[in-house]
Amino acid sequence: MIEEKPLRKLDVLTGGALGLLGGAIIAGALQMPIGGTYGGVDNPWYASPAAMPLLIGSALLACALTIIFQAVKRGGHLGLPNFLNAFWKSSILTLDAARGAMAWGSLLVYALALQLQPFASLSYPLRRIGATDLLADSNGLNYILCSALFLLAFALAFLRPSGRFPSLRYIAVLSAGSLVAAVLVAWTFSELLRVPLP
Amino acid sequence: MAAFSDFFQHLYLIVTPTNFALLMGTVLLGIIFGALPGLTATLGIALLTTVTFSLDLPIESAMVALMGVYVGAIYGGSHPAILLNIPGTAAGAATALEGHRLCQNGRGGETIATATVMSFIGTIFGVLAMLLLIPLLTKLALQFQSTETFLLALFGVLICGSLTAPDTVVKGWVAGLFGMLLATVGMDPIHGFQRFTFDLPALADGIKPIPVILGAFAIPQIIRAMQKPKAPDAPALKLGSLMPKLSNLKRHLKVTIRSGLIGVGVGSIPGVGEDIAAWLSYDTAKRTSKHPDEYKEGSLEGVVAAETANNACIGGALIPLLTLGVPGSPPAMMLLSAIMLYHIVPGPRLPEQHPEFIPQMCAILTWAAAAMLACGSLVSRISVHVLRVPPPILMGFVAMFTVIGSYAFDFSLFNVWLMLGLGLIAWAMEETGYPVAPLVIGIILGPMAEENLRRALIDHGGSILPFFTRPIAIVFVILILVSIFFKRRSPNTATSETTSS
Repeated sequence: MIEEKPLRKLDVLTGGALGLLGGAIIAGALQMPIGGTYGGVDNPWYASPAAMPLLIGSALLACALTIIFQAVKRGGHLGLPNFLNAFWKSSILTLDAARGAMAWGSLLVYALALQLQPFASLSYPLRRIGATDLLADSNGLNYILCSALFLLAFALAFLRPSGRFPSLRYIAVLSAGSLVAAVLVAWTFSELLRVPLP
Repeated sequence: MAAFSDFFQHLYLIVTPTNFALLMGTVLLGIIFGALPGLTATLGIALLTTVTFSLDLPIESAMVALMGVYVGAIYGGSHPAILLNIPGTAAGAATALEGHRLCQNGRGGETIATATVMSFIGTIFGVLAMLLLIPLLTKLALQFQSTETFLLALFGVLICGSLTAPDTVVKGWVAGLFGMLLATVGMDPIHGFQRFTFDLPALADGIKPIPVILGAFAIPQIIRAMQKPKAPDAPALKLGSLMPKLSNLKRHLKVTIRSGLIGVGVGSIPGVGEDIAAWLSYDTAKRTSKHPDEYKEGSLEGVVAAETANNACIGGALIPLLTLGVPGSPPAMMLLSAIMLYHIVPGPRLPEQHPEFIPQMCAILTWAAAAMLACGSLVSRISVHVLRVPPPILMGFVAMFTVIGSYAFDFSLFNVWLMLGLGLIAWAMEETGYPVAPLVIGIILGPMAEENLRRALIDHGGSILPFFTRPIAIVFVILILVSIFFKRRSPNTATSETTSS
């Protein structure tokens, strides 16, 4: 968690965002059927689908105001533009933040690859030569290759023995390891545990 | 004492070769999960839920597997805490303070053995509390109408927010409200009106808890671990004898009983969990110790307090889960989702609808404790080696498992996207002082709160008076007010105070 002083400044921002969210929820709830009848059933405010979102929106708004009030009381609003500039440089444009973003980003690319199935068509020739069910299934093959590439990329991006660029031998070992691991995971889940693969 | 006779009967009935193998395997898996920093009991249960559900295991065997992981993981955090001063879980952090110093003084084996026995005693303490309190609480819960059920759900979200917020309590409530907001997405329970779906068919059925739990607990861990991907140093350690000393157990009897009570008490508070139980118990033991000097060199008393309390918390967390449908800790939240997958609805009607379920759970918890006692000390030598796995490799696998876990629940890649999005939000929340546990309890208790609020208002023609006039409702209103105005000592405060004193 961030330290006390910058946290109070960020509270002004998160409080503001929460206030907007609370307002948006209330606005969305007011679009829902309130009063009269709905589907032939009496629909007073307390029975309507809007009742809970209205309560949640109002409570969020109240909490947001409290957070902003508490932050302002501790000087969170003072020098906010300068703080944001400094915060951007000291917390966002850092190696740690880039590593975190890369970790999340690689997961995003992995999910996208599972969705788009770029390797699915490779299963056709494998089916022709009588490969096992797991490899001949377009879903299974795509999962194995995407997962192997994901594990390899993840390890290459974050695992740097003595901080140097990895040698070809090191990459080859990691590639083989990733492929074996992906096949093992796919086999364990789909064949042994009967869990369908994405 | 029908509860006890049913329990003893199930203690015998539950032992089948399949269940025995499942229990030993999952307890070992749980210990590894608990030992590895970044992997938690909640995540272990979440990942295994998908497997047990896909395997079509009967509920009895599924619960054996999930409880095995739960008990193993809560205990497993003590291994890296004692051996390497790296707590595998937040609950193990209190153990690390004293346990590692004892390990450095050549008493590692003795400390691990004591932690193992105390975790066993703590778990059994929780089972006894379940057997004694569940029948009483069930009778009380049968008096609940919609008014009380709504107030109970609201209390659960608020108290969880108050007790888990690392910064101001309002942030805890915001997280809970956000969870309740996510629970309103999809078809509303009375009119069938589509809310906040943005015309996405995948949202029509609402947001399911499993992708939220995986996102909230796994993604922030992956991001944080990769920000500083340093493999833990695992030096060669001489553990010594792994046999517990009877004299230690006798000497710390009072602390054990007190810690067991603290564990059960904290566990029964909705959504709070094992880490607060361990810290509170450790703090109390240190403040009331007759040997405060020992805390400078490493105190076995501190380890006893923390380890007894965090495992007693398991039984404590299951009490509100089984009687009221309100989970007492984050792993129990996941367990609730798993139980509901089998169309069993925990709550006051559970003993009537599934009379065998509660004694079965008590029996499973007892066997899980026994399996942990058997495996615990044996795997301590292995766990040192497991801890040498570099985080980028470990987290790569965790990421793969969370993707499978969110997908396989209802074969939808939309759940994977949801998990990733909510995971990023959960990480940002934690960085800015908003806890994630209330978010999860909010999404679990949200539907219960909404349905009962609207039903209560419809039953009373829109009047809110019953919320303030019915006797049990008044108790809940008082509890809600206490949770709002209660100034708690955070575990962090307790730690800094205890370590500086």
